[in-house]
Amino acid sequence: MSVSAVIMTILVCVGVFGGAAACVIYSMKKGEQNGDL
Amino acid sequence: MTYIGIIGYVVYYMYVSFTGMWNSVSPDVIYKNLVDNKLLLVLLFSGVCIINSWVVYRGVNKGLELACKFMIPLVFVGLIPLLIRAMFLPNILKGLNYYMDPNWGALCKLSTWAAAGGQAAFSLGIGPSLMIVYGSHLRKNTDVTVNVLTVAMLDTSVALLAGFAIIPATVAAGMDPTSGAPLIFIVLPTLFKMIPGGQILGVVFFIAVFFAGFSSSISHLETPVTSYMDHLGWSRGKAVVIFTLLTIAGGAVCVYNMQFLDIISRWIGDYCYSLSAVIGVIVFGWIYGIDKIRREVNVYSDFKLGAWYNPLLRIVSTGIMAAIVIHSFF
Repeated sequence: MSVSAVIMTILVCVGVFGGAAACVIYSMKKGEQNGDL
Repeated sequence: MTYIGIIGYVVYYMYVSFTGMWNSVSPDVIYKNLVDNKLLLVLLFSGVCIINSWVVYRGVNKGLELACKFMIPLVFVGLIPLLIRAMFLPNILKGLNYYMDPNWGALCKLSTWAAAGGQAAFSLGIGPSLMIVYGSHLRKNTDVTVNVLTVAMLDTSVALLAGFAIIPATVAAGMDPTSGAPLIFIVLPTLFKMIPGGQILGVVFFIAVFFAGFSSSISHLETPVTSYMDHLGWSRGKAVVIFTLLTIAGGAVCVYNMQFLDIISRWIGDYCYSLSAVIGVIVFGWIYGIDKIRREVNVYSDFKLGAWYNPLLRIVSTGIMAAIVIHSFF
């Protein structure tokens, strides 16, 4: 596996999966505050 | 119609994977037999349409919301075993390299941006106005910015997860990672046939694909139903019945006349969705007033949209959408 592929895998995974997890956690907290959950 | 047709194929492949049919019949023969069996295709198509209409008839909370709460997590859960199994295949690093090694030269091509924009517009439902319809059901105090970010990130996550589960494994097995129907219905069954535990993975995979497709297809019916309820005062039942019958009739014609399906796919998929997305960007960005949109969104949002958002929507989004339209015509 090339170095650029490794770097891209790390960046994309952290960015996309991390970003999605952060958004979901934030949405859930916000939903709790608004009484949605 | 094309979308529901593909879900019909997936339903059949759930049966194929349950019975392990690919162990006795070659996957390309299974696919060819299915495509040639017009009556079965119409029945599968109609069955998916009827389940679809039942979910939409139940309404937004008891139908769509309940179905998606159940189905969307299962898409993630269904893809993870496939991903884990794929990572233990021989030559998987070669496959990962194929999937993740960037080709920077492609960024200079209009076709790359048009394909990426088209995929985003279709996947996020911008072209067929799905997000506008879903957005119309939100509460007044909803944080739209966070909701939009969450939808975009989760959509990309599922796409990336599916890509990691499928593309490297296909390359590692020495097969052509072609796109579309042949990848799902010929290449992957061949892969499942080759690897130990492939039948269980196949069952899980096709169930996950069914949930992913079905949760999207209900939004395609909800869009005209909501529009006709809001603008013409139709009841939900009347709108659901009429649009379901129209879809089944159109689907049956497409199954028996593939030329008609090509015309429909070309005009609606390539031109109408792109044009609709461009019109949407122009209306919101240039006519309705972008500052008005920012003010409305920022009232209940923790992340305020600043002045930077104006050129992003007016220039970048319009440019990408225009590139999609130009590319689709040539």
